[in-house]
Amino acid sequence: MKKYISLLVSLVFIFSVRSVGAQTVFDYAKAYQDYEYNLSAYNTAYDSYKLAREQYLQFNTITSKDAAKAATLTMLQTRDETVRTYLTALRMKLKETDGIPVTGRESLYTRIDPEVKWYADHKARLDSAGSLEDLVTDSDEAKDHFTFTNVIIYDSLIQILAGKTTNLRSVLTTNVGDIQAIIDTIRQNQDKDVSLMERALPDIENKLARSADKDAEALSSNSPKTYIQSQSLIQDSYLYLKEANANLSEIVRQIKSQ
Amino acid sequence: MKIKERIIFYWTKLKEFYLTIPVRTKKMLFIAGGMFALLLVLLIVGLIVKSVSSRPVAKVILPTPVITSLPTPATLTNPSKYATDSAVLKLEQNLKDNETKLNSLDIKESNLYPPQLDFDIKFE
Repeated sequence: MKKYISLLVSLVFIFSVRSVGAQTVFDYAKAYQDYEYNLSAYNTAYDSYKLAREQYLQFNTITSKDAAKAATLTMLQTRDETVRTYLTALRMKLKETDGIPVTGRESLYTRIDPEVKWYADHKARLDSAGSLEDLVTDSDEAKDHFTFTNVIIYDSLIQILAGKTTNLRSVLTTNVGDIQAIIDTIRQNQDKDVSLMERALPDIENKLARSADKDAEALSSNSPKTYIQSQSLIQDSYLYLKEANANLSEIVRQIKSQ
Repeated sequence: MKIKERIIFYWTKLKEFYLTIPVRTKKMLFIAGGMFALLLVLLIVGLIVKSVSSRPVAKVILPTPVITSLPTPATLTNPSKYATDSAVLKLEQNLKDNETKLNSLDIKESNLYPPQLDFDIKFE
């Protein structure tokens, strides 16, 4: 009986440890979930702030000022928390996106991490504000800082998009090498005419090169103001990759036919 | 009082009342009554037209198109000796995987756009 009880206790322990381990996994999905939760909290707090502000401006009483101060404090705290969790989600996305060069990724980490800390510290400081005017000053400080944060955000976003195309281009480059090896074998065996296939390969390589150029241009010219144009360049890069893949599939079809 | 007598009584009263109405008011009453009758007629005509137009029209039965399956481009009519080659098949599968990845790629990542936050906090 003792044996069975100890076995049961051991099993319960093992499963509880495993479930605790499963809960501690922090990935992009979890980070994004946190961000969405905080954004929702901010939106609620913002509505309350707007109402309290209107009432204060209308009545200008001590009570309405106190209410406005409390609503502003909550709104500013949720705003800081939203930016902090958004940056964390962005960091996790960078981590989980293949194709981003290690140096680029590390460089962005070193820029994002102090930002995450800045918003956490700023949020912690808000509680000590003695008046509504102090809170407005604190908000202005965050406003000035966010212009700096914005640059890091858009640099990260474009790296994520370029990472995706870089990853697929790398796979396609390997595929070009594979197809070249197969064509070489067929030529050596003199089984079929491979001249058309050989002529198609440089065109595919050019498409991959053009895709890389578009990515490079997007990365070099990116800024918060030009992000849409950079995004459009990544879109062009993606279309070149699609074409290259379709052309490679056509060569495979030719190889498989007489 | 019997019903017939009662009807005659009220009819007489109505006639007397009618005679007391001035000629001008009578004309106006005639015009109003005429307009009301005209509206009633128009309403009845409208309802008839509506019910006729909403009657189900006999459906035109079109011949059902016969779906014939066309051979897919992947089907090779004249395969070469490389059609079953493992390296070629592996490459073909890789390219199909690429296509799936390319088609499912969220190239804009619009859900990652920065949040819309208000930084202009003023109490003026």
